Amino acid sequence: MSTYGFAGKILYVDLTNGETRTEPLDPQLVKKYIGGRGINHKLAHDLLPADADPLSPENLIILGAGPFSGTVIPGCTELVATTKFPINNAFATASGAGKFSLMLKTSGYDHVVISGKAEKPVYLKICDDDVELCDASDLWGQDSYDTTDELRKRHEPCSIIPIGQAGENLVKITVALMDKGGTLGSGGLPAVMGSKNLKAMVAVEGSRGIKIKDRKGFMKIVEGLLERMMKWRGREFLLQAGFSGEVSASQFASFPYDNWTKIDFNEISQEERNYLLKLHAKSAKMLACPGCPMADKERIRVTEGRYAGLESYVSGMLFKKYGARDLADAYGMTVKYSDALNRYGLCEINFDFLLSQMVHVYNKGLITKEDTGMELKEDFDTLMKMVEMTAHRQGFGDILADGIVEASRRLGKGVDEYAVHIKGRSPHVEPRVIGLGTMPLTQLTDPRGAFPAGGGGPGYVPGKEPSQFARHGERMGIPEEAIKRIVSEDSWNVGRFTRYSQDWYSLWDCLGMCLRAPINRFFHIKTIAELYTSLTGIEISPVELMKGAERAWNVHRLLNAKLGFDRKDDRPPDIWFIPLEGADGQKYHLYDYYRKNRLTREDLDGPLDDYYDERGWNKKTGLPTPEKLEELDLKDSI
Amino acid sequence: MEKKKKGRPIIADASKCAGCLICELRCSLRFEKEFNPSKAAIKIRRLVGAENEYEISFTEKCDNCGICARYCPYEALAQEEKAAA
Repeated sequence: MSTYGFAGKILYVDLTNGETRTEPLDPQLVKKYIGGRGINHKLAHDLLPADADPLSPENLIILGAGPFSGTVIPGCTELVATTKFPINNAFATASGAGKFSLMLKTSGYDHVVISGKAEKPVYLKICDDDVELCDASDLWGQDSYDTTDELRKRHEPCSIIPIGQAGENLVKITVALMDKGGTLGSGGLPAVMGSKNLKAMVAVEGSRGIKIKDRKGFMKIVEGLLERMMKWRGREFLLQAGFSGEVSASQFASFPYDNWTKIDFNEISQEERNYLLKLHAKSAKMLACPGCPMADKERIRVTEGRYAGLESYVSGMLFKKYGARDLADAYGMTVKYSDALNRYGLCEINFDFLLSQMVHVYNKGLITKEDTGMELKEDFDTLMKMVEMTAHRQGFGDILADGIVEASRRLGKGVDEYAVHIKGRSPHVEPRVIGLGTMPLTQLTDPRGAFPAGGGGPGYVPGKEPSQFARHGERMGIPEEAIKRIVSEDSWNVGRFTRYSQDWYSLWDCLGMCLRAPINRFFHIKTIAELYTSLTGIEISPVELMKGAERAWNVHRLLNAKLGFDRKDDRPPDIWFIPLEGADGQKYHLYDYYRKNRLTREDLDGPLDDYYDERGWNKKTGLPTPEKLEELDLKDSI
Repeated sequence: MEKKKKGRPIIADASKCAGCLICELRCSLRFEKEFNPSKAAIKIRRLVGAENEYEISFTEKCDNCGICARYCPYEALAQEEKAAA
């Protein structure tokens, strides 16, 4: 096939027998599924048995670098990874930003399909036609940072996705780090790698290039995007504060504690937050992904407090006080916690909230020291001890290592009634504070479960005017007739808009584009279509691009339908309907987006019905109808 | 005989390099009409345990065209100023 934009091949690696082979990337696959996530889902449908145990040799790891990856389109550097995730036994595609897609494409590959299990620890090294399973017995047991450093000394220029001890110990609440920067595969990708004795994946810089069909046209669009990004007034803040600063200055800055029952908005005052942001700007050097002018990965050097001298790499810490003696000490403790999670490879969201649940039920007396082996408190010492024990599956850590549903089941005694999850994953959104916008609804309806960045758009942030939904909707590829139905003068339909939020992000995952807001905000669907055509030479309209993205989402829904997931699993957690107790004495209930009506569980049926209807799915089952599959040309292939 | 360079020397400040590789990608685009870091005349290498995260170097191929400096978003590269007349 014409390999403008694409590298042109799929690499297959069998870890069991060490054999590798390649196949050309089928132009028909590209035409129908666009690239990246779309093609990953099709490959998963064809090759990954639905009943494969996530930690068995039958599970596959499918990597995808979209056509935009590795070019100078700003912020296009994403790798997607599809597998059956151990946290909930569901098919999912995760995305992570970094250098891997560029390196993979310079070796000539758009996708890699990894199967089987190596007999002893290996790392996969890919460089042009030289694809090797290298002995990793000297690396096994090392954390992800040390593994990355050692492999970099051997293979730079390269990109490295390692696992730490948590992955080796098949801990399900794990996430991998790409080059000590972007996260990939929350929900157990490292455990899947560990189950295959795959210590790391290394993509070494190859000799091939990514070609452009219409160089002049392509670069003209790129220059326009870059100019706007460099002038953006938010860029200066980002380059000083990084993603951590962004997160800590946003609506996510205050999160519930004590198992989602309490919240304290003033745990860190605005003045204290400003101090921490200044300290962070002094302590952090921002690092960038390939092609990106919005560096937000952070190398940090702690200069004060008990962890003075600590150097680490993070991507999105949430500042907390941890009972520290002063703010500088609290900052160091936040870095230390992030450092420990990253080195072992634990996923912060799924670990943090699970531990909070356990402390909560411990305080209630449902579990005791007999179950835990130690006193459980929601404090820093307990946190750090449990990170260690969970990563190594020691004592009570062995229970946490299995994730929220299985851990609760193992303990029994009614602990599962306190498990706050959506399809086995901990949410990281608090709708009782922000209202029922697109983010909570996305977390409910995502086939993966509560997944970070399932969909995007203005509905992520409370208080936006309806006119902003119309404007952004047009940018996000929502058809004009749909915008007229979904947005009115004084309101907008959350269920229907959520469908398009998800398709928008699905498209980005198909192309290899970074989902973060500093990049996302600059792209219009028309620009994306023009970029795609000028890069690849494939004529495509915005409507066709969104169709491809919709197709990817539908295939995903069907993959998990085979495992029994349907509407019943798009279930809001009980806690959403229990008032959240504020430290200020206020009680926070679940309201709609504009906080006009308090919502009960039954009230969520309406938005869910609207969502399924807008998707063209059966409202009772929450699954694609035969008519929808026909419309998407999936009837015969899926 | 050393090839005469086209333009004024490029000044690199590795302490500012964020590793975005835009210089490599733009350079290879100019020389090879494709994004191919292995063919770029500027090389960005990530270091381990060093003060600077990245190291910047140039190959013989570099003719000081200045594209890398023009497009570096992090001010790690600059082209020497013209000498005053």
